[in-house]
Amino acid sequence: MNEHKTIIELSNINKIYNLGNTKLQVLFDICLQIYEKDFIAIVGPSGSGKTTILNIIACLDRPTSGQYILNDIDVNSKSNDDLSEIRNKSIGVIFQNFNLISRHSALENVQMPLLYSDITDKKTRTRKARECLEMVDLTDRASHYPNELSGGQQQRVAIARSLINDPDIILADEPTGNLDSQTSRDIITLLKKLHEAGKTIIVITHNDEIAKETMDTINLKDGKIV
Amino acid sequence: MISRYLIDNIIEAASNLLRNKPRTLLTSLGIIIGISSVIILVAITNGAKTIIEEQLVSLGAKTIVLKPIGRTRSGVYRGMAQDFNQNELSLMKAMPTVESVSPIVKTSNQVSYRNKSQVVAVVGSNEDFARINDWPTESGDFINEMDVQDGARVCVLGASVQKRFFGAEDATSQSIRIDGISFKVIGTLTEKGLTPGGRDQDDFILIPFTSLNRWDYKGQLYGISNIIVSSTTTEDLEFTKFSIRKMLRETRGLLKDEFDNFEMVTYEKITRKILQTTNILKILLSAIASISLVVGGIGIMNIMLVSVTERTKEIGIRITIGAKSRDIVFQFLSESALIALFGGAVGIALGYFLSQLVSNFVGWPAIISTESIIIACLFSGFIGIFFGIYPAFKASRMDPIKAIRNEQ
Repeated sequence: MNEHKTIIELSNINKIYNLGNTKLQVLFDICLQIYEKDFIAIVGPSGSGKTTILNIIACLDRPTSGQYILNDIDVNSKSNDDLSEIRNKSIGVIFQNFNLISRHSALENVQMPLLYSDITDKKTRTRKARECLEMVDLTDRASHYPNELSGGQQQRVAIARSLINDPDIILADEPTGNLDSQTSRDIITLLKKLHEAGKTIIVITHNDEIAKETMDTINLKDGKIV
Repeated sequence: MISRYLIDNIIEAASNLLRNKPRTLLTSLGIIIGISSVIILVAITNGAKTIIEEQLVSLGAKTIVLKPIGRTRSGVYRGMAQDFNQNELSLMKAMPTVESVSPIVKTSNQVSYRNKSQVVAVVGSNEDFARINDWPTESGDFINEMDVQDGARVCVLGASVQKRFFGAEDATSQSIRIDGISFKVIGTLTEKGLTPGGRDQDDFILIPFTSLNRWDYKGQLYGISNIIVSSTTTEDLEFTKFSIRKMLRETRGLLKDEFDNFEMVTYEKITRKILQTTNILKILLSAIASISLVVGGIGIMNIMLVSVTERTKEIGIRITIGAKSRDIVFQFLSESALIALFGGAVGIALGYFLSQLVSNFVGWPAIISTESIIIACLFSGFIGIFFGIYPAFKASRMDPIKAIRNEQ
C-alpha cells in the first residue's frame, strides 16, 4: 500500500501521568505506523491525547510502556542527551505559540539549533540560516526581533528554525491555531511545499483546510485511535 | 571545535549580562568588595611586615651580644667568667661575615665639670658603637678609629649627662674631668629615653675603651665585659655565631668536654616570633575578608536562580531544539563565572587603588604581590563556578514540555 519505508512505529504505547495519589492514563495501547514522506493530520477533541502523542514522537516525552522505533532506533533505550541529538538532527518541531526566543533576532533564532550541532563555523551557520529564511520568504526580516514580527511571520521563522538541520520529520502542534485564516493558508502552503520537498510531516490540527491537504487523518478520542 | 563552542557560550553569556547591566553590576558588587578588601588587607599587612622587618634589623636582628659566663657541671655562676681581650676582638673583626664589632667596658667614675661633681657610668667602646646601636650624635662627632688606636682622651656625652652638667649649653669642645683626668667632649648623643624597665639609656659617658685601660692608674686593666658583633646579613648570623664560638674555644684552649665560658645572645627568635605574628595577622584578616567573598558568591547564586526561573521557557525551547544538559549547564556557568571574573577584575583594580590610598594614610607601603592578584583571579573564578553549579544543574534538569509551556 505504501512503497516508502517505515520511519515512525509506535507499538502499544501507554502514557500514564502520576497526579499525586491518582493516576491519569492519557494514551491507551496506541499503535501507529508512519512512512517516509507521509503527510498526516492528527485530529481529535481537546484532552484526547494529541499533544502527548506528538511529544512522544518528538522524543520530548517517554511513554510509560510500549515501544517507539524511530528510523530503526529504539528510542526508549536512549539517554536524554541522545534524544536531544535526535531532536536536533532528525526532527523539526513547530508550535502553536511559535516559541521563539524573544531576545534574539529572527536570524539568530533560526541558527540556534546549529549551536548544538557539529557545525561550528560561523559563516556556514549564517549562510544556512539565510537559506532557511529564504525558503519561508523572510530574508528581509532577518535582523528583526520576534516582537517586531506578525504572528504569521513568527511562525515562518519557527518553520525556518525547524528546517535548519534538514530533518526528515517535521512535527507541528496546531501551527495555525494562533493565526488568522489568510496567514493560516500561507502556512499550509508552506507545509505542503515541504511535503513535496520530501519531508515527513505530522500535524495536529483543528483546521479542516489542513486536514483536507493531508494524505491521512488519525482520529483520537480519549487516548485511543478511532 | 571546543574553543568555538567556548567562545560562542561566552559571547552569549556576556550579551545576556549586558542586557541587564544594573543587575549584573549589583550582583558582582559582593565579589568586588570581597576581592578588593582581600587585596587591600594583604597589601597593607605585607607593607607593615616589611616595615617591621626593617625596624627589627635596625634594632639588632643581625647582631650578637657576647657575654662572659662561668659554668660548671652543676650550673651557672659568674665567678669563673672570663672577660674578652683585644686579641679576640681583632680576630672577630677579621671574620668575613662580620660587619662591625663593638666592645663594651663598663665602669663608673667621679665626673666633674666646673663646680658640679657626680658619679656617672662610663662606657668604653670603639667607633662602631654608634652604628651597631643605631645611635647618631646630636651635635659634634663620634669617636673615630684614630681615637681608639691612640687611646685618646676624648668623650661623647649621653643626652642626660649633657643636660645635667651643661643644661641648655652645648657641651661640645668643653673639657670635663673623669676621675680627675681631663677629657675633651667631642660630641653628644641623641636622646633614646627610658627602657621599658625604666632605666635611663642616655645616662652615660662614652670614651674609647683603649683610653680607659691606659688611664687606669691603679694598675688594674679593665676587661671587655661585652662585645656586640654585627653580622653582614641576617642570613649569615648563624655562620658568624659558629665562627666566633670556634675561634673563642680555640684561643681559650677549651677542652672538648668543657663548657663555653662565654654566651652569645641574638634576637633571632624574637624576630621570628614577631614576623610569625604578622603572618598570622595577615591570614586572619584575609579570612575575615573572604567571608564577604562567600556572601558575594551566594548573591551570584541567588541571581542565577532568578535568572533560571525567568528563562524557563527559553531553556525549554533550547532543550527542544537539541540542547544537551551540558549545553544548558555550560550556558549558565559561563554567566556566573563571567559575573565573578568581572567582579574579580574590578575588585583587583579597586583594591590596588584603595591600598595606595590607605598606604598614604597610614604611612607605610602597600605591597601588592602578583601572587595575591593571581590568587584573587582564581578564587573569584572558583566562586563563580561553585555558586553557579546549583542553578545551572537546576536549569539543565528541566522537563522541556513543562518548561516550554511556562509563560513569563
